[in-house]
Amino acid sequence: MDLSLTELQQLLQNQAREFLDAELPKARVLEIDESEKGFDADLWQKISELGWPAMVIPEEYGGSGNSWTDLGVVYEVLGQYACPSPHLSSSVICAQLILNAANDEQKHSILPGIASGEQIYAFAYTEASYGWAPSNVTLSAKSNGDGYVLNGTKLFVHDANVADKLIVAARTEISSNSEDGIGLFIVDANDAGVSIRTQTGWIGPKVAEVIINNVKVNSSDVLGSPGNAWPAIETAMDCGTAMLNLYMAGGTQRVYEMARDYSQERMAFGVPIGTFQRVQDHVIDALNAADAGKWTGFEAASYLDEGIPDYKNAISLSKSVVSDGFPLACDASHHVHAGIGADLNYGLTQYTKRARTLQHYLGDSIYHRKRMASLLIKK
Amino acid sequence: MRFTQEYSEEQENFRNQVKEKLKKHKSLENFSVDSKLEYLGKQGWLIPSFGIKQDGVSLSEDLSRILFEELENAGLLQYIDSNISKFHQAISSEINAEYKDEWLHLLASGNLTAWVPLINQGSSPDPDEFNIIAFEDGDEYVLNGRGVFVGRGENPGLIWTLARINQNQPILNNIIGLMVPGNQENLIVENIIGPMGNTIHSVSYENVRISRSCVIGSSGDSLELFQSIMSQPTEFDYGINNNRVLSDLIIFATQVDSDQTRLIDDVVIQQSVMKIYALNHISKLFQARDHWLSKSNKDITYHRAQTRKWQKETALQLAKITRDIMGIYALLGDKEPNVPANGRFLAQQMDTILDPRIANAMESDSELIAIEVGLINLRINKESNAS
Repeated sequence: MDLSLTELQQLLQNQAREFLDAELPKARVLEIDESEKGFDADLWQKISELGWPAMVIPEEYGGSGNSWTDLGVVYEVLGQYACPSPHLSSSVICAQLILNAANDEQKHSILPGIASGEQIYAFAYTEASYGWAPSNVTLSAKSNGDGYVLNGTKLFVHDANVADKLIVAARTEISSNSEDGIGLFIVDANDAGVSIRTQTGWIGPKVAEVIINNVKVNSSDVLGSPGNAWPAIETAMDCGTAMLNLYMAGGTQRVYEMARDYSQERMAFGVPIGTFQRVQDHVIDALNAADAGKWTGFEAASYLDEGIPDYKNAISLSKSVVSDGFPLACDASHHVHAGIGADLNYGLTQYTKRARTLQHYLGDSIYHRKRMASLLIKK
Repeated sequence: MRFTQEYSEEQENFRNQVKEKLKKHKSLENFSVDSKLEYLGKQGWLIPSFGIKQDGVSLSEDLSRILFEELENAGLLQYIDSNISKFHQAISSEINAEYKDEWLHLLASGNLTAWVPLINQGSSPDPDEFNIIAFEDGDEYVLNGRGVFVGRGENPGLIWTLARINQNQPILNNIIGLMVPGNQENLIVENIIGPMGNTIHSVSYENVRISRSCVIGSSGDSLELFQSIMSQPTEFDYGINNNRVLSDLIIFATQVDSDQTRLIDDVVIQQSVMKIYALNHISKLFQARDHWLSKSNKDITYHRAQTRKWQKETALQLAKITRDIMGIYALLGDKEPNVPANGRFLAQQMDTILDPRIANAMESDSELIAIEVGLINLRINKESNAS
């Protein structure tokens, strides 16, 4: 067992911190969050110049072939700064969908654009019956000559509002096994049959409703064998979840630090409030959530790197931990901060909003505990 | 980062040796507590890091961890008693009794149990917990009163007794510590609860005469000495391990049906079991992290207190979820015909109130964390108060 960061990982961590210190003060996060698209093209351009979108794409497709732990180190820092970007959707989940489902020609034609950050992809999976199981995919894909015609509505799609292309999960046939009959289709976000609307509410990062009305998809834009896409989807979602876990762990760490620092500064009855046991309990709850998220998150990433068969369980365990822990740490931090914590300019709410949104993304704790049970009991 | 543990050839060989020995004694699980202790003592596993001359087996920290992992898999870890090594230490350094060497040998070989007073450690003493009075009579102390103790087995071996020497004075500086042999006349023992592992015992002293040579430490600092020795870290701080009971619980929930549905398939039960599975996994990760920090000479600040606190909370959660799922079966004694898992569930239930590693001083762990993360500078305050 060796829990140290490699030299490269330390460099990546320092680079990410220095970059985000310079480019993403908390006021800027608030501005981006409050903008219509929740996206900063200039920030994304700079992130792309750093090579982060290329990190887990193999070199032969224009990537840099880093490990999941390398990228995880960057994600932890991204989470600490509440960095808004379409990286997870495009450079992790969609890149993995293509790597795991597409043919070589498609890989060569699509992945370099994702690796450079010039092309942004979003994964349209969830629908009105929100959920991440294969049975939740009902959007229809009907075979039509040399391609398919798609009809239906996707909801809560991350980054659809800034994407150039969507990878849509759709059902090609109804089967008694819900894992069968799912296909992956590349759809131009600007297609006349596609309508994208950012959903409102206290949601961060932004999610969109995607209405797909009689959109024709050529066979060259179908990924893999239609109807057999579930294994590729599951792998891509696992990789995405592993990175999301570390983003959320980073956010948890920051809200813990905010609670700790504030409790050292804020005076009541002539002493810092951190000397009160009840305040300490909140700070310790946040610290425990942060450490639990961090170590389960890196464990899962390292299992992915080493190809350890138990990686699915490790990823689900970690997601169940951060999905509960990040919101809990935010609650604890709000208890410590009281009124000032609710001030948008203070910066805590940006994390709380993310915690409460991301706890559901790629499966909430209940979903992942159920998945753990199915993986463990099978054994 | 690499989270998988790699073992050296020596470590693998040692693990195999332990497994082989345990395999040969598989029926141990059905033996009495005393027989189990005797077996563990014979192997030198009750004080594994102690030297061979002291009846230990001189195991390194890494080998001790492997030993504990295997004992846990065999359902025997709960009989490893950290009191034994603490008694060993106290008797070696603080006592000059004529039976000293014999006691040390009997303790290490599992033939002498070690019982300690059940007092609230880590905080100011509660007068109600000290109901034994000692008065001097020549070369002896005469003890009267009743005390509550915790320790393995049903028969007392050595009882670390804390008695008041002046009932009318404040407790501090008026406590004397005595190592009382359990075979002493006029000692009446009543085992209150706990059929295996830790047991609570009520012990009445009626003019029990103890030689002055059995005094531990000097009379003024007896309580402090007791608390100091009991709180010192040992190899047994490997941690509270819930793996075996958790695994028993999963097996139970998989094998038992309710309304023709396996318990594990009930949504609420499944969620509870997986929740505790995750908590337990994090316990092990924190332990591994602390071990790695220590081995690689990195700063350990709040980490050990955090791990202890997490382990305690996990053990308590496991006990609660076990009761929720198993109902009253979780409380069945090990001699009952229908007892599941040879009574390990009950042992875990009892440990949550009897094992000081679970039941005691959660607040002191929180306080340590608070100090280390800079919320309060109690250490400095304490130092300035002391000076």
